[in-house]
Amino acid sequence: MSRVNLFVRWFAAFAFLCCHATAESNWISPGARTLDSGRLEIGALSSTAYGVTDRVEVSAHPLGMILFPAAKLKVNWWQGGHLVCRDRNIEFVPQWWVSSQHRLFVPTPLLNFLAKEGSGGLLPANTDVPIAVGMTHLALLSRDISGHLLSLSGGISFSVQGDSELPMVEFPFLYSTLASLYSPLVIHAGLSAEGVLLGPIDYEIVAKMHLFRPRTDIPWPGDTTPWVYSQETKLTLSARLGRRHRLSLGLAAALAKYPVGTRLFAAPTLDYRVSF
Amino acid sequence: MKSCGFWLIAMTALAVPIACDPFNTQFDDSEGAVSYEAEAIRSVEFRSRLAVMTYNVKFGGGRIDFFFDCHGDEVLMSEEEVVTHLQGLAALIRAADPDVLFLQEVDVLSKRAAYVDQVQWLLDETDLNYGVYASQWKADYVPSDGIGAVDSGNAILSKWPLKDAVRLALPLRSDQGGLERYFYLKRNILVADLDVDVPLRLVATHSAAYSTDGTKAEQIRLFEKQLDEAPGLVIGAGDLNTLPPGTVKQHDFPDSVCTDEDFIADDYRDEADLLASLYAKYETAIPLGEYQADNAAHFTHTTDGSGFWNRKLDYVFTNANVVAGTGITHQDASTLGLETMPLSDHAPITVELELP
Repeated sequence: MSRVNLFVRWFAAFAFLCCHATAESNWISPGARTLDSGRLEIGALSSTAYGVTDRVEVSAHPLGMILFPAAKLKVNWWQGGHLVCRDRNIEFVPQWWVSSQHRLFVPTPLLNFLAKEGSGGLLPANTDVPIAVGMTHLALLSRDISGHLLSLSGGISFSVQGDSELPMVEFPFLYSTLASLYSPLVIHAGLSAEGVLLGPIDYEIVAKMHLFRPRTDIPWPGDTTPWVYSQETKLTLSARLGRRHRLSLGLAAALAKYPVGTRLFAAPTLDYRVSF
Repeated sequence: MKSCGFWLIAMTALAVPIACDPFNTQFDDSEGAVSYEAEAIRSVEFRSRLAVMTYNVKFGGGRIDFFFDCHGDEVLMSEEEVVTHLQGLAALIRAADPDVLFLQEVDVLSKRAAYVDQVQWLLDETDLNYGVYASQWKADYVPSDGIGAVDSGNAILSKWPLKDAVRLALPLRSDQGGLERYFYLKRNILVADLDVDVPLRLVATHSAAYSTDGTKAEQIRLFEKQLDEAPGLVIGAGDLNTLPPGTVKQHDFPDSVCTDEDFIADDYRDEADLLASLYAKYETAIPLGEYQADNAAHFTHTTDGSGFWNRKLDYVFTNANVVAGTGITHQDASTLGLETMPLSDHAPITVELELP
């Protein structure tokens, strides 16, 4: 089969699946909305999430558990909306969501992996990696405006760890993920927008700001250690392939203040999710 | 595991396509050097007798056993360690009291040196007033061995102002893969003119330590070319990473304990005449005859801080008149009253020149 022929067949299959997509799927959201009760989503490269009830969602990354054990709990505390009459039934249509999100993570295996000689060693091989447990607590507020979900978030992260002179990992994207290991408190703020862009194509824009002040024993140019930030933006376009499948492509960018100055990095993202 | 690391870096490199040089490691062929001034200028009248010093200060690492020389596994220093080492270096520099100081391996913004700007620190803590700096290893992040951010290079410090300072890129090693070369050292020649009545050009360099492709020879040839093309008086100094002609011991040094061939700089037998032309054309701090009569008295380097200097890698060449008998390799406390072995893996050289 020629390459052109193969491409045409794949494209036709993709178009068929897109045509049978539904716009009403409640896929996992970065905002306050939780998954429907009993809904399970499995991500090839992102986390797997499950709606325990209509208001409680848990998520974790099965493969990531090996290197970076982490679990997330999202609890919806309040919904506001209006009642509509549909098929002789009165239904509640939510327009506001207020939720909290709680994440527990253990960075120790990742730090052990990064502490090695040679290429890929982001920490010195002789690093005394501490046992550490980190937590992130966020408050989430979402509003549905004409089918687009706009969300705000704010919260903190902190870690409990054993004694260690752990060097900072100033590597893009890991910088903010591990920030609570170098700072007593990390402050988070974020906003996101998601919805249907066109037909079976969804969009999602997530912008997060992480603020922290490295401990004084962390080397930094100059006499005082300043507050630093890491601002991360991710734009994702997802194609719904039937009711159960979603393929996502995106671009993530991180603008952050490092010891060497402010730098911008970007990386492409790719994911495939299936729901049950 | 090593190939896993390679792919991690390769994927990282692919993942940051936002710029051709995402980690800021590249240089132009010729670009302006970075200028420095001491916090407090100590005015000194220019005199025709000039004291010159060259010193590879090993980024203020003293005798900590770092991973790359295979005596230990250290990578990062604390600020306290760096400042302690710099205090020792500054005391030695003050004791030698040079008018012009050539520095190699001086860090200005490196994680391994706790981000201490060592050029500024040494200017502020010695009687030198002005400086120019050219980076030879710069990266916002080196994703290997935990090195992280690095900015390290050559500097020229002077009691008098420097002008027209440029960083000239030297050829890169061709015996490395593209990704390794992207993050690797980029050697340079730093050229500056002393801004005084007598036109005097200063040329600093630090040539490749590890190369199997003739890069070091080419770098030394280009250093020599800079001296040849100077419009008048010229002083060229630095760590040339090769031995003088007539050196008796040329390989198999006892402090070479690395087994990774990337870090082996132990065999100079193919480079016996690399410096012959420089010695033929220029005066030098340590005359060749004096060196050949007693190699050991002028050794300037060892990676083993508990041993003794075992090879000469550091040089001062000039077309000015060298004051006879003033060239000294400071191997111990007998010359300046301070031990040099604990301060760096190189010993400094001083010499006095008589200008017309």
